[in-house]
Parts: sequence; C-alpha cells; structure tokens
Amino acid sequence: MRNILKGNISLIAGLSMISFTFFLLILSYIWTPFDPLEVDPKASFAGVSATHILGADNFGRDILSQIIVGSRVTLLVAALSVTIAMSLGVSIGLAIAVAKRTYQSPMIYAVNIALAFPAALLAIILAAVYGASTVTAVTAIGIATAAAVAQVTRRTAAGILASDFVLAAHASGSGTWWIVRKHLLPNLRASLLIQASAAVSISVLAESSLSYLGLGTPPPAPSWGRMLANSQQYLFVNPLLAIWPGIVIVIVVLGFNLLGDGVREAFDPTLRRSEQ
Amino acid sequence: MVGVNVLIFLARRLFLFFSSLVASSAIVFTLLRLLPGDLAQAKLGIQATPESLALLRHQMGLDRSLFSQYFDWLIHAIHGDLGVSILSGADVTSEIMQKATVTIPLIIMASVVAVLISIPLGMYAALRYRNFDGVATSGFSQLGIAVPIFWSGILIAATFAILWPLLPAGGFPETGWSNPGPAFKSMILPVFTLALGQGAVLMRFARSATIDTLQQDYFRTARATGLTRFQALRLHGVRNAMIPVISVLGMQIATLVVEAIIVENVFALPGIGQMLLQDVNNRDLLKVQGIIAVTTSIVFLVGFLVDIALGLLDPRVRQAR
Repeated sequence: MRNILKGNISLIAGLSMISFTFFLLILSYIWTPFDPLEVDPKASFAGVSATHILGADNFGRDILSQIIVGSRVTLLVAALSVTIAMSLGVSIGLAIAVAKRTYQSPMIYAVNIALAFPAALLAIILAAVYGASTVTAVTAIGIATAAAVAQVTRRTAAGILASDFVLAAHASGSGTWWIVRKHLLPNLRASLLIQASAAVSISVLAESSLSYLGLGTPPPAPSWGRMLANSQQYLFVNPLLAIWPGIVIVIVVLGFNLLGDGVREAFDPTLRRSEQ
Repeated sequence: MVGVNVLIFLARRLFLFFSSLVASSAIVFTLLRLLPGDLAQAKLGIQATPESLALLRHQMGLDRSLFSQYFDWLIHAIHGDLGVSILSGADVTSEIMQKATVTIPLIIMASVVAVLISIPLGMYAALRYRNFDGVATSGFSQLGIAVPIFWSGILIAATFAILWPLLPAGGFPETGWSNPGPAFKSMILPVFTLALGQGAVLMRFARSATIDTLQQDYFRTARATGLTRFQALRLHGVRNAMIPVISVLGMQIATLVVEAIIVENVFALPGIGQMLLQDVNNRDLLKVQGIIAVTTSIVFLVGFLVDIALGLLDPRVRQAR
C-alpha cells in the first residue's frame, strides 16, 4: 500500500478529499452545529461568526449544518447511480465485446443513441413525466452514465481480446467464458476502477446541476445544488453564500477525478515515467 | 476525384444520421407517453368529465395505437411541424426557432472561445510539463473540470456584474439581435462560462496530443534544423493538437447542449433551455418532446458533420466502424 501511495500525488490528494467527504457524511449523523432546517429570523444573513461558522442564509438557517447534511443526498445519489451505471454499463460493454460480429453493430448503434442523452437531459425528460424526485435523478444519471461506461468497457475489452495471449488461449482450446474470467476481467480491473471513480464525479456534478435547476431531490432535505440556487437570489446581499456549497462540490468531484488519475498512474508504469 | 470508398462512407454515415434521429425521437416519444394518466387528463385536470376526456382524446388522436401516433408526429416533424403547446396553443416550431436565436449563438460562440483557449494553453502546459507553470496550467484544467458549470456561472456573474458592474448579470434585450450592442453584451458572460468549462476539458486533450508530438521523430528533426521548441511546435503542434480537440468537441456536443441549458438558467437567457425547464414544470409534454427532438437533432447533426470532416481528413477513420 505504501508503495502505491509513494510519489503518487494524485492518489494521495484524491484519497484525502474523498476522506473529507465521507467525514462530512459520518458527521451529519453525529453532530451538526444547528438543526439544518431550523429557521431563525434573527440570524437572517448572519455573517461568518463564532456561532454561525459559515454564516446563515435568508431564513437564518446555519450554512455549515446544511453543508454537512447536504453530503447525504449527494453521496446517496452518487452511490446508487454509480451502482446502476457500472453493473449495467460493464455487462453491456462486455456483451458487445464478446458477441458475434453480426450482433455487435446494432448494439454499438444503440449505445451511441443512448450517448446523445446526457444525464441531465434524461433527468429533464423523466421529470416532465413523473415530476422531479431522487428516483428520477438516480435513474437518469445511472442510465446515462451506463452508456458511457459501456462504450469505454467495450473498447478496452476489444483491445484485450485482440492481444496475443487471448489468441494463444483460443488456440489452446479455451472457451469464451474461460477467457473472460481468466484474461479479460483481471486485465480490465484498473480500467473499471478508473471508470467507477469518473462515474462518481459525473454523478455528483449531474446531481448538483439537477438540484440547482430544481429537478433533484425536493426540499426540505438540504442539497448543495439547491443551496447555490438559493444563494443566487441574494448575491447582492451576501455573496459569500454562493461560495461554500460550491467548494464542497469541487472537493468531491476533484477528489474522485484525482483518484482515477492516481489509479491510472499506479497501474501504468509507462505513464509514471513520461509524465513525471 | 472522389473514390468509391468515400461515397460508401458518406452514404453509410448519412443513413446512420437519419436512423439515429428516428430512433431517438421514438424513444423520447415513448418515454413521454408513459405518463400516469395521459395528455388529455393533463390538459383538462382531474375534474374533467369522462365524456370531455374521451372527446379530447379522440381529437388529440390518443385513442389510436402508440405506433400510429408516433408515425403521425414523425411525418409532421419532418415537415417542420412539431405541433402546438397543450397549455398555450402556441406553435412549437416557431417558438423553438425564436428561442434558438439565443441558444445557437451561445453554443457556437462558446465552442469557438473554448477551442481558442484550450489549444494554446494545452500546448503551453505540454511544453512546460516539467515546470511549475506547466503543472499549474494543467492543475487549472483539472479544477475547471471539477467546477459545476452553474457555480462558475454564479461566480462569474458575482464578479463581473456585481463586484465590478461591467456587464449585465443576466437577461437578454427584448429587441433581440436587431439591437446587436446590448444583445452581444448580455451574451459575453454566458459564453465565457460555457467556454471555460468546455475549454478545461479540451485542454487536457490538446496537452496530451502535444506531449505526443514532442516525442515524435519529425519534431526532433525540426529541432535539429535549428528551430526553437516553440517554433517547431508552431510548425507541427497546432494541427496535431487540433485533431483531438475538434473530435472531442464533436463528442462533447451533447454535454455542451445540456450545459447551455444550465447556463441559460443561470443568466436568465430566454433560450431553448429556459423554455424547456418551464415546459417541464408545466408538464407541457408535446412541447418538451419537440424541444428534445430539436436538441438531439443538433447533437446528431454535429456528430455527423465532425465524423464526415474527420473521415475526409483521415482515411483511417473511414475504415473504422
């Protein structure tokens, strides 16, 4: 473990940012300075102070408490949609890669059509039908990200299947399942890990955008995107309100992006030499 | 002289383009018909009598099969008729055309600015990748990718419209482009917001393409003839950086459209994106369907044009499926 971390700045930075996020999540169940939904007219637009460490919004709700509790929605949506995206995307991608040539083209075609619907657009369609909710957001983000995962998985898998050791396995009489289990999956491990962390970043960005547009988890549950939408109405009164939720979103997204870079670096020694 | 291969490539790509349009609009059509209750119910509300519901269903063609409804919609759509809004009765096509005068320039200007930012910065980051400033430049692009577009929009508005009131924080003049000065002014901040987000993504590709160029033999040869690294890069690097940037921009177009929808809402621009969200909140499904059909057509059209351009430039692309 220490060997992997050594000199891998991306991995160290990414893991620290992710730990910070999970620290917020755990903290939300243990302690928050105030009840995040507690309205206090006297504290309306309170600045940064010892009582309200990051200030308070127009209703006098404590910002720090809302940020801590807001991590729940963000991470819940991310966890669920990444589970959908990875299970669906990897199975479709692998299925295409090992399928007969005649079946490959229509499947690739279907994935390409799905790729024209990014998470937010799909969520908008679902919200038009069912009304916005956590479920529509998770479904949309999960399916849209699955298409991207399927595409990358297919390409990576096709590359592995074209290599000499797979040819050798074929020649020695190995079946498709054997090759998938013994050669394909172990070689895909790094790529899947990188894709999963990228999927988390995409989900967090999509969830916060949907909440910002009013199409995410409905109130009163605090969410970072909605806090920012709210702050925009009071930019003239208290511009600082527009800073804090944005910073935590960036920490989560950057954390998982850096984790992906770090994993790539750890698994690919050639990258380490040329990049450093 | 255009070879047979090129013609086959063009024909196949053209077929893909049109069939994707049909397939995606069919998916959207079906998704929007999954509504609990139906369009007639949505229009008349829950107090409607069964008779008036049945009459309206018949008028709207809802009592026919899903397939024949879709086919009807598709034939009209091909003739440029996307129907009328359930709520206001307004013609969907003409409303989209009118709102597109804001959205399309926004997307085009942002793409141009994004390319103009990303290529020089990406090349710079590549050239100086061992130095602090090169690393800092790629660090900025990492940060740019992680910043949600609506937050950078809010920050940019706060900085250039409130802290230093140079430009409007949002809105678009009623007179539209007939009064180009104010119209252009209200586009500057949205265009930069959109371009910064895209530029950060494109920069990574420009950077890795340039690092690749730096290790090529022809680059070493150019250096050996006495050119400085900078001069040699100007000779070989710009085009090599352009190819991945353009093709990535083509792939990113779906994201770009979605980000334009978000940016329009940040800056209260009366474009397609803002209209779409209002219609979603009003459950104006026919209009939502029309808007989504238009935005996905833009996505497929750009993908098609980029593919054709790259295919004509690079024979290897033509061979690939």
